[in-house]
Amino acid sequence: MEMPSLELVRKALNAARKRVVDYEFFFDHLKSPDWIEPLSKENMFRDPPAALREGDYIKFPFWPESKYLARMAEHAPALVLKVILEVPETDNIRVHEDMADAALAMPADLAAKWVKREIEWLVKQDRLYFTLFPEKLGALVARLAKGGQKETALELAKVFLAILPDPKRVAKSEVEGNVPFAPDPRARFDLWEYQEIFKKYIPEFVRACGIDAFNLFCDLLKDAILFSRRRDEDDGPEDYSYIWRESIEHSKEHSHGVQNILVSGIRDAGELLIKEKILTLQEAVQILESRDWKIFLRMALHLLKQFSEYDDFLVAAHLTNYALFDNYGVRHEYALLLRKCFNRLDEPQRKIILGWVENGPDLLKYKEAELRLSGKQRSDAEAEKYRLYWQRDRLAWFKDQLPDEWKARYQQIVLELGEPEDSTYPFRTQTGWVGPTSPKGIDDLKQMTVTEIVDFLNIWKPPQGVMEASPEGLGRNLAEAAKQQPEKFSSNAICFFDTHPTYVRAIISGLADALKEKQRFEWPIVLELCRLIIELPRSLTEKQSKFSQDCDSDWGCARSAIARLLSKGFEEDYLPFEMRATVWSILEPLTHDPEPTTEYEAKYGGSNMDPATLSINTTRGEAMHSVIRYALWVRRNIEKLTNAKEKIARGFDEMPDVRTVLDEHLDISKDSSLAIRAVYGQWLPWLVLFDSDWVKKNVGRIFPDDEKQHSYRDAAWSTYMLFCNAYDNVLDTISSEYDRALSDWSNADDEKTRGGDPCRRLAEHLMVFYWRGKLPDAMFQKFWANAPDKVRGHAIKFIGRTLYGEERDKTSENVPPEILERMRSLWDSRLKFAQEAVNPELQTTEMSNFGWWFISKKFDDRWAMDQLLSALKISKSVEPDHLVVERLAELVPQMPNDVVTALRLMVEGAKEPWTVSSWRETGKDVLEKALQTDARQSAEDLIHYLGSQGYLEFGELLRRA
Amino acid sequence: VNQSLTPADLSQHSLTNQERHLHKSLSEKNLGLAQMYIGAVIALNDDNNPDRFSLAAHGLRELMEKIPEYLNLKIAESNLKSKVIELGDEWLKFKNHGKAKNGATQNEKRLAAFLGKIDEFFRWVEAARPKRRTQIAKVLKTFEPDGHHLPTRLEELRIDEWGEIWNCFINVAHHRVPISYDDFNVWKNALERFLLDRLCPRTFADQQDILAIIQEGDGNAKP
Repeated sequence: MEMPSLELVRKALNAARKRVVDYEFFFDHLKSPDWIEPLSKENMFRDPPAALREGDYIKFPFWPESKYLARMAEHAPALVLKVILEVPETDNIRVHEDMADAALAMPADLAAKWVKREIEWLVKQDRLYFTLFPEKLGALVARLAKGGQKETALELAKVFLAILPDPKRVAKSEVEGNVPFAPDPRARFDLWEYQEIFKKYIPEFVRACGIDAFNLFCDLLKDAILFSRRRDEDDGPEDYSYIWRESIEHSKEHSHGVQNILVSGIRDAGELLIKEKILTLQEAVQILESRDWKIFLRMALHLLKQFSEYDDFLVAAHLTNYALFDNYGVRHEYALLLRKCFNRLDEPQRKIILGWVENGPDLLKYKEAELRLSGKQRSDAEAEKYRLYWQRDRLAWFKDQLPDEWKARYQQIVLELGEPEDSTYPFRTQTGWVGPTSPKGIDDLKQMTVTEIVDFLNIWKPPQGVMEASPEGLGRNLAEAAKQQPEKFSSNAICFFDTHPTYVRAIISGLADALKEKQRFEWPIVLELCRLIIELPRSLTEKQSKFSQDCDSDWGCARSAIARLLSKGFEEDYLPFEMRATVWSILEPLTHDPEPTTEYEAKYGGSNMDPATLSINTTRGEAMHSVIRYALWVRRNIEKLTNAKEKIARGFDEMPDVRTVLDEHLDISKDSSLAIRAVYGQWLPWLVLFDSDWVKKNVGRIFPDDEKQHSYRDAAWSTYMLFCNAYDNVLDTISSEYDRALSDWSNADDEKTRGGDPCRRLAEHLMVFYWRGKLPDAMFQKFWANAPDKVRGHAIKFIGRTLYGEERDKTSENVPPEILERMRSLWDSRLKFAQEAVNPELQTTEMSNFGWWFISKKFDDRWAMDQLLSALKISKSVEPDHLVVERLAELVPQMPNDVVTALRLMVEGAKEPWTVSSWRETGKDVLEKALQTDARQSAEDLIHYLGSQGYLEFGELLRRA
Repeated sequence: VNQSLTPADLSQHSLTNQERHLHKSLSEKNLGLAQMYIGAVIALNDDNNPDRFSLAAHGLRELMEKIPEYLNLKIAESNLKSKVIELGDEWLKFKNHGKAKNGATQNEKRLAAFLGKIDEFFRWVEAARPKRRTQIAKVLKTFEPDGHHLPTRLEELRIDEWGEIWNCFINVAHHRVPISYDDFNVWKNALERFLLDRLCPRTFADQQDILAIIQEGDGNAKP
C-alpha cells in the first residue's frame, strides 16, 4: 500500500499552516491511516500543546493530531500505538483522553502497552480535571480485563481509582487532640464520575478479575476510612459507619462521599462474584472480615443475609455470636440477618438468642453510664423500664419469627410501651436541621388556657441533652400559638410577665406576626406588659440565667421584639392614636438600649455585616427604626385633622419627642454606633418629609465633614444610596452632599456583593434627576468628568435600560420628545468625548452600554445605527450583545451594510469564544439575510472571518447561498 | 501619511484588485497602516523615480513594523535611554569608588551592585524588547482564535516567511541589494497575500483546497 508522498504532505501542511483552524481542519478531515507515517516523518506527532495556566484557571488545548490518531486506531492499531508511545509526556489531559480513545479501539494486548506507560504518568497526578478521561480509563479497565490483560487492568484500576488523603488532614504528631474538621478523603477526579464508573464498567472488571478485584476494592475502602479519621492512631474497628451508611442494602452515595460509593461497589461486586460462583460465600466473608473496620463486618453480614441458603453453618455461627448481637455498630445488618434466618436455626441456637433477650441488658452498666453521661442517678424502676424498652427493640427485629410464647410477650410489651420505630437502626440520621423541639405542640398550647400555659411554663424544667425539648423550641410553638390566637394571648399578656424572657419574647413576636397577617387585638394589656419589661434590668436574675443553655441570655431579644411589635403596630394604623403617649413611653427608653455596644459592632460589624443590616439586628437599632415609623404614624394621624396643613408645616415642632431622640443619637459622644447612623441614611427622604429644615440644619451632623468621622458619613451615605430612590426635594435639601460624593470615587472599585454598590446607585440617582431636568449642570459635568468608566458606563446602561423597559412595557406612556432629545444630546456629548479622548480604552464600558439605547427603539433608526457603529469602533463590544444582534436582524432590510459592519466589529472585538456563541443562531439569521442584499460581499467576508476564528458552522451559509 | 485618500484619489492610480482589496482591509483597521501601504505602492509604480524600490521597500517595512502598534500590542517599550542612564550611574559609582581605594570589601559590594544592575538590565531587555521572532510570533497569534494551538514547527515556518519578507525590504530599503521590478513584486505579493489571509481570510475556500489535497493523498494511497 502506498502512502501520500512527502511532497504532498508538505503541500498539505503548507496550506494548513495559514491559520490554526485550517490546520485543525486538515487533521479533522483525514480519514485514512496512510497519512500517519509521512506525517510522523515530518515530526507532526512530537509537539503536544501543554496545559495553559492563567491565574487560578487551567485550559487544555485540543491537539488535532491525537484526535486523528484516536480515529485511526481501529484501522492501524499497531502503527498508532508506535506513534503514541513516541509522543513526549504532556500535562495536557485532552491529549491523554485521545490516547485513551485510541487504546480503547486497539486489541487489549496493544492497549496494555500504552496503559503501562500511562500508569507511570497517572501516579504523579494529584487531580484529573473535568474531562471524560476518567470514564475512558474506566472503560479501559473493563476492556483490558475482558481481553485477558488482567494484571494491567488491576494495576490501572489501583492507580486511577486510588483514594488520596484530604490535604487538610493533619497528622497526629502535628497537633494535639483532634483536628477541627473530619478529613474528607477524595479520588483523583469527581465523585459523581467515580460512582458512574463503578456502575458502568466495574461489573465487567470484577467478573474477569474475581477475587483480586474484590480485594482491591476492599483495600481502597480501607484507605478511604483511614483517611477520614481525625487522628492517625485511630485505627478501628469503630468507623461510625452506622452514621454515614445507615444500611448496606440502600445507598446514599451523593451525601456521604467516596466511602459510600466503595461500600456499594464492594457489596455489588461480592453479590456478583457469589452469584456467578466465582467466589464462595465463605471466601467473600473471610476477605471482608480480615479487615479491621466494622463496615467490612457489616458487609459480611449483608452477604450472609443475601446468600443465607448457601451456608447455614456460617450463618448460624454469626447469629449466635454475642459480640455481634450486642454490637451497636453492626446492629442493622445483624438484625436483618436474624429476621431472615431465625427460623432456620436449630432449637438450641434459637434458645441462645432468646436467652440473651431474656437476660436483658447489663443494668448496672446502664446506671453507671447514665450517671457518667447525664449526671442522673437512675432508680431500679427506671432501670427496669429501660430493660423493657431494650427487650422490645430486640424482639422487634424478628417479631414475625418469634415462637408463640415470645410473640405474646412481645405484644404485651408493645401494649405497655407502644410499637417501636425501626429498631434495627442504632442511630437514625435526619436530613437537615429540624431545630429545637418543644414539650408542647402548637395545638396543645392553643387548647390550653393562658393560666394553664403560664403554670406549665413555670413548672417545666428543660431536660439536659442533645435533641431534647428546650425553651427555645417551646418558645417557637408559643409564638405560633400567639400568632394564631392573638386575642387570647393579648388579653392575658400580662400573665406572662413572670415567665422566662424566652417565652415573653415569643408571645410578643407571635403578636407581631399576627399583625402581619392583618389580625387585630386589644393593645392596652400588651403595652402594659411591654412597659413592665423595659422597666426591668436588661440582665437576667440568677435563677433565670441558670434555666437552660438553649434560651435567651438577657432581655435584649424581648426588647427588640417590643420594638418590632410597635413598628408593626404603627404600620396600617393598628395602634390607636390615643395611645401615643403610652407608646412613646415604651419606645423612647428602648432608644437607650446599650446594644449595639462598641464591642458588639467591632465583633459583628465591619466586613461581617454592613451598618444597615446591623441596625435591624440590634435592640437600639430596631428602636430607632421604630421611632421613624412612629413619626410617620403621628404624621398620618395629623393629616386627618382639620388644621393638618398648618400642623404639618410645623415639622418636628409637632413631634418634639422624635426630634429630641434624633438630635441625641447624632451626637457621637452619646451614640458612637455606625448602625444607628445608617438608620438616618435609610430614612433620609422621610426625615426631609417630616422637617426639611431640621435636615438642612443637621446635614453636617448626619454626614460629618471631619475626616476622622468618615466612617459615619459613609454609613449614612451608603445606606441612603442603597435604600432610597431619587427624590427632587431630597436633592434640594442635601445637594451639597451629592456634590461632595461626586468628588470622591475611591470606593468605586469595591464590588459590593450585598445590597449593591453606592457609587452605581449615585449614578442612577443623577440620571433620574437628569431625566427629569432637575440635575444642576455643574453636578452633571462633575459626574462625567470625575466618575470612573464603570460608573459612567452604568449611568449609560441605566438610561438605556429605562428606555428599553419603556419599550417592553407597552402599557406605559411614551417617553416625551423633550426627554428623548435630552438623552440624545447627552449621548452626543459622551460619544464626542470618547472619540476625542487621549485614552479611548477608558471609555469602553460607557460606549459598550449604548447597546441598551440601540435596542430600545426609541430613536431614529439611522441615528441609532450611526451611534452604534461609532461606539463599537471605540469599545469593540456591546451590551447586551444578543439583544443587539436581534435588533440588527430586524434592520437588515433597511441598512444591510451597516448591520454587517456592526456585526463584524462585534466579532472582531469578541475576546472569549462564548461571546459569539451566545448569539450564534441570530447571527446566522443576520448573515443569511445580508447575503441576499447588496451587502453580500461584506457578509461573505465576515463569514470567512468567523470561520478563521473557529466558527466553522457559519460556512453552511455560503454553501446554502 | 496622515491624510486619507478618497476613492477619487485612488482611481488616479492603476491599482490591482489585490492592492485595492488590501488597502480597503487595512483602512478598516487603521488608516495609518492603509496609507503606508498605498504610499509604498504608489512609489513603486512611479517609473520616473530612480529610487522607487528603496522607497517602496521602506514603506512596506514600516507597515510591517507598525502592525503590532495597531493591534495594541505592548511589545516594545521605548525607555531604553532611561535604563541606560541608570546603568551608567551605577557604573560611575563603582568606577569612582574604586579609585578612592576604600578597601576590598567596599569594592566587592559596589561590584556586586553593578553586576546586579547589569543583570536587571538584560532581564528588562528580554522582557521589554523581545527578540524579533518573539514579536512576530505574538503578532501572528493575535490573528488566531484564543486557546488554539499551532505546532511549533508550523509556527516557525510562518515566522520564517514573515522574516524573509522583512529582510528583503530592509535590504532593498538600505540599498544593500539590487532588485528588479518583477522580483520586488514577488516579495510584495507575498506580503499582500500574507496580510490578506489574516485580515480578509477566505477560510472556507482555503479549506476546500485542503480537502482536495487530502483527496489527492488518499488517491495516492490506493493499492
